Amino acid sequence: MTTYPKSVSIDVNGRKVSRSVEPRTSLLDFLRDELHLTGVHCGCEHGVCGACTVLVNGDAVRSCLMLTVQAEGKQIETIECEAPSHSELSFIQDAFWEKHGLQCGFCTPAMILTARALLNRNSSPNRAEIREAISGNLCRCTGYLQIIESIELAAEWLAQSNRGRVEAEESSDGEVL
Amino acid sequence: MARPSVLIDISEIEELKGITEVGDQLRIGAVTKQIEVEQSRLVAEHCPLLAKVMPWIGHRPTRARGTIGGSLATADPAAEIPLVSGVLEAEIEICMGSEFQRIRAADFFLGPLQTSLPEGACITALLLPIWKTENLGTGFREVSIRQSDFAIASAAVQIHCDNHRRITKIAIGVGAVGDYPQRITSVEKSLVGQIFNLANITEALNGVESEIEANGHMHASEGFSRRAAARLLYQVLEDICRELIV
Repeated sequence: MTTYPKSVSIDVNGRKVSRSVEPRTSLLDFLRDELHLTGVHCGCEHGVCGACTVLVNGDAVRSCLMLTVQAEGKQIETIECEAPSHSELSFIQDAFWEKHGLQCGFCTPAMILTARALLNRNSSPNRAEIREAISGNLCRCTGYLQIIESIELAAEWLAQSNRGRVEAEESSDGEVL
Repeated sequence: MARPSVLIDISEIEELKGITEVGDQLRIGAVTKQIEVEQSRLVAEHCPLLAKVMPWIGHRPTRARGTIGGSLATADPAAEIPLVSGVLEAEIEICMGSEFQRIRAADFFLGPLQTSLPEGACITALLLPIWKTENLGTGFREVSIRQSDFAIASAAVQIHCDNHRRITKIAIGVGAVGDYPQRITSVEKSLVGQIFNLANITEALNGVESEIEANGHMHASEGFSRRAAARLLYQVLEDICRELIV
């Protein structure tokens, strides 16, 4: 079988990655097999389970339904860039820890990235909006309630930290900015 | 569809993207992402029925990559965009070599996953008629086993009344239960000219089940599908009746 490798240049977790790939390689397989970002999980491989979710230019997307060559020039974020450093958790990860938002952890990277995409566009989602946002991610362990509570807590922390910032700015010069 | 010999990525072709108002039509490029249509103010203003169905299509991550043209070309019987295209008598613009053609929605959807798209042709745009905004009512409902699953039955209605709440124009369709979107023209004919109220709706929908073609399948028998579609039609008309301020 003749193959026609294509060279691609993709921003993955803040680093520019250039590789030669078979056009038929899915983004999921590329991230896992080539870049060893095994936090991206392979569940159903046809877009139903959501375990393969990554962020593409900030939007949650099924990496199993995207070809690597389609990611040319785009910014990909996987769970591996969620934590600020090796010894810290992001506030979303912290909230999942606090509220037991995971058991086996298989759906968790996708849930956390989906939560981040949600909070980036809606910083105070109500419960219905959280449910809707994660409705494309299957979880076999938790029954979803703890995941929803984790995201609610993350949103609460986000709101508190934003309020704290505004208050600090207010008190520093007496004006609301 | 499962094993193409050649796969061409058209998703970056700029001429196939975008939402514009062209005369009395809303033109949506085939490669426009579903999420863009969902968030578009032009769509909300000029084709509120399409705006209403968008959140029901799959999940947000699939709408982030899925396109309008993709949904039309796939022609899944349960799909929402083909239903709206059928109900509103949209046109599907295709390109064959350097020639452009327009196909009416009714002539485009031939069967489950089957369209009249000729081999070698490419969908370039969906053209939706723009109705007058004044006294315009739209409604959509679908049922599925879980939210965002494929619809088992769906109903879509767009209706225009005069200032005395008399129906001047109405388009009614059901989806998912048959091979392709179905207009229910008999109910349309009996409602045009009538005052838009629950009594007239109930009367017009009398016996509508026999107008609906339904296939049975694993998740819903033929009888259930027919009854579900008829019930959804009533509920959608009731929804609009309640919301329309005339």
